[in-house]
Amino acid sequence: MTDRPAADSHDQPQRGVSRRALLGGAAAGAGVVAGAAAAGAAISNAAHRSADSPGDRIVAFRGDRQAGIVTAVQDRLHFAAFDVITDSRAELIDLLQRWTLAAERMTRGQETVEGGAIGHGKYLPPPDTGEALGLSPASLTLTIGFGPGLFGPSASAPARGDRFGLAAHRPAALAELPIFAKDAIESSRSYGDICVQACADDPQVAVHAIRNLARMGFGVVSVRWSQLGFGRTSSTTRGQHTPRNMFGFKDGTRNLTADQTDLLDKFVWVAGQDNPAEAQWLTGGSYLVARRIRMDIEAWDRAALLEQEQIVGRSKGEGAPLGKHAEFDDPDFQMTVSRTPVIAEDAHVRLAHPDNLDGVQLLRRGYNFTDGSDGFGHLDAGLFFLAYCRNAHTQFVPMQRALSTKDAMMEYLTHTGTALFACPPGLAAGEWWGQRLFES
Amino acid sequence: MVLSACTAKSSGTGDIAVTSTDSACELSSSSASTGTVTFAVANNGSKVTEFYVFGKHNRVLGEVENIGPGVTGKLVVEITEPGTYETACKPGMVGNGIRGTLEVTGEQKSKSDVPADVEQAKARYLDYVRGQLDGLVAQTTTFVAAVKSGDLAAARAQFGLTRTFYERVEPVAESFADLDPAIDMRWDDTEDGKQPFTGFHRIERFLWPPQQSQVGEDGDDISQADLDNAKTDTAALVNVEAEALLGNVTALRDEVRKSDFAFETQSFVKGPQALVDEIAATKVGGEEDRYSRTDLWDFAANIDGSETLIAELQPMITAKNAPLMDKITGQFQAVRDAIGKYRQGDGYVSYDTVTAAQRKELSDKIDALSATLSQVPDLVLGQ
Repeated sequence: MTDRPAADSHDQPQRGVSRRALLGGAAAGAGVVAGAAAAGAAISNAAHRSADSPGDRIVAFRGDRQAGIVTAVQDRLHFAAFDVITDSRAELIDLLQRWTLAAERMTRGQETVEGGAIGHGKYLPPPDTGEALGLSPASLTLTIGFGPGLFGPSASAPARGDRFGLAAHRPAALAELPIFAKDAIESSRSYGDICVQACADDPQVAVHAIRNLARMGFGVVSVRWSQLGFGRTSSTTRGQHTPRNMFGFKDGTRNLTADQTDLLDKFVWVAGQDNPAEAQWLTGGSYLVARRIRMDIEAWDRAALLEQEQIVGRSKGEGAPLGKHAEFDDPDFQMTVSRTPVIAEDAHVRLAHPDNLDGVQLLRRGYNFTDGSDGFGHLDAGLFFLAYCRNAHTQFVPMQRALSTKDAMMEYLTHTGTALFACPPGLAAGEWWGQRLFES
Repeated sequence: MVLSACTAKSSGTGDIAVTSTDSACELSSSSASTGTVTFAVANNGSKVTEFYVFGKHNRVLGEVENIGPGVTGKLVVEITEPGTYETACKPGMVGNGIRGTLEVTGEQKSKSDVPADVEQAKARYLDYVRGQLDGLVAQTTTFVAAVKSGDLAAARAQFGLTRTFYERVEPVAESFADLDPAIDMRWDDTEDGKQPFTGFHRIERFLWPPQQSQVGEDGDDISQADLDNAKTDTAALVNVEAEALLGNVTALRDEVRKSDFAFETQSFVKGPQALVDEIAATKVGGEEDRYSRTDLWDFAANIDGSETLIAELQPMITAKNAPLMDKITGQFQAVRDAIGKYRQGDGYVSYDTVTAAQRKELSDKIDALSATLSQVPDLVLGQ
């Protein structure tokens, strides 16, 4: 849950406060008739559920780090990438300030503004859309990132100038990712000036958050693309069991976890020495790589178990490296049987292993997705890969280059979306999203 | 965050529970504060009952009827003046009922009537609508004459301009549930040809005959059934439609001309946004004029109509929120500039030359304007 011991207090989940209970209080304050009996019932209900319902948790919005990076991965995702469509620095800053207030409230299980869903009179569109009324905070985290397009020309808008006077503050590593072998990148699912990652244990809570931020942004930002995810495909704490991806295999066994603070400092958090003075706003933050990876589900499902396991390099049942017995056993890349490697040269686990990438690691936070079926009746499904790292170009790029050219699994994968964002550090009290960037 | 608006609007009075039996009418409270008073009427009797609140001279302020045995009804009454009021349950729905009194205290409140300046603005706007419909009839007369004379080139040249008059006042026209579809229906409204295809777009299809290559499933594509049906179009059939169109727009003008014609205040104050949403919802994708691709004419006309409405409301908006009015003005200009990029001669380029990215840019500006305009009704009608 925490990035470092000192941060314990602010990233510790608080249990037992339900959205409904908070709303009862908020609604009464706004003068709306909220049956006292109903609010009371909700509170006792919440108290009753708190012991076994992680969904009631509130994850602290402010702290040294942004929530939603090493926070225990929630069940659901709604990720959105926005284009900034105004050239006005003041309008953009105003939106970021309003977003921050709304985001913090929503992570507490509250409406975007007090009384937002019904308390603002009958002639106004309610400032909160209301579909999260009565739902718990559901561990909602909202994590913001800034794309290259905010600082000048970018892959999606190569002709664009430095609209907001931020060019000098662009970290060198915030450069568009290269196109890898076999990429089939769709521009309409890629890039973006700002991203917001909403993770929650309830999909409706995550969708509500993105939807309301998007509507607050009309005229200033425009949703460029978004992605829903379910079924986390990695763990960020030892307490979480390793989930399975759409191929049915355990994924993320070797992921970095929140308690590995030394490794996080080495591989996830941007350090002061990484950037010149103009880009120190990112110190303590991280880079987010987002890739939409379509899986060729039907073909995979026709592959024999032996082939599937050889491609992954792990057993499907236990998730143990081939030749080993338990999930967390170290893979042995030297072992051979009849001079053939037990873990094939082109197995996914071998190519992605830090030992074969000069020890480089990153923090994965991906989700399974399915966007229904395509025109052939095939699942449009796969892995929405999200990974945080200190420098995507020295960590993710070499890894993906190796995978894209050598990984046997590539026969069943197509990368259709790509994006890179710089995610600033967490917010101090009273601070707004992007303040350190815009005031640096 | 400024939230002053919320607290002021609540009366702070809870519901008054009314229990009606065959022989009694009990209120949980015989007093209330001025403002909105809500009664929850439970019928514990064996007969159907009613509940009334009476003001001076036995004037009915509110009533809830047909409450069956075992059923609860709700009545919300706005009581603006302090004083003594009468209540009544009417088991069996006959007679004077079982009377009681309600003491209302608190300060006098103004009734949430439509402000006078809104009524004046509505009257001026109605003049504008009538003027546009006169223009519509005149222009449609010319257009129909061109169609009937077989001068299809002239008819094509007239099409966008003729529709401009209609699109400027679309929300008013749409309040006529029969005339509007007859004039402005699309193929999509015909249930794939089961209903007759009439109006502007039927004639448009004849003037710009769709081709097999345009068949597809996107919003601005032609359906196969539409294409097949188009092949049955003859000049004689279309002349009948043209004549019917002229009859329908004339009927529309005559209805709106009537001295007792009135439109809802709600639709008036929502009109600016409604016109912009016409574009946002079903036009920016290119569905409206899918044969002629004259969509940009319609966009510009919707914006004309919306700006005219805003001009009427502008003093009220400025008085209450000048920065919002400035924002509206700026966003109208941005939309105008975006549409203006596609001007060509006296009209606009064909919408199929506007790329997906350009359409999204238009859509973004329209969404932004609409979001701002959604704040207008509360400013104009709110207390």
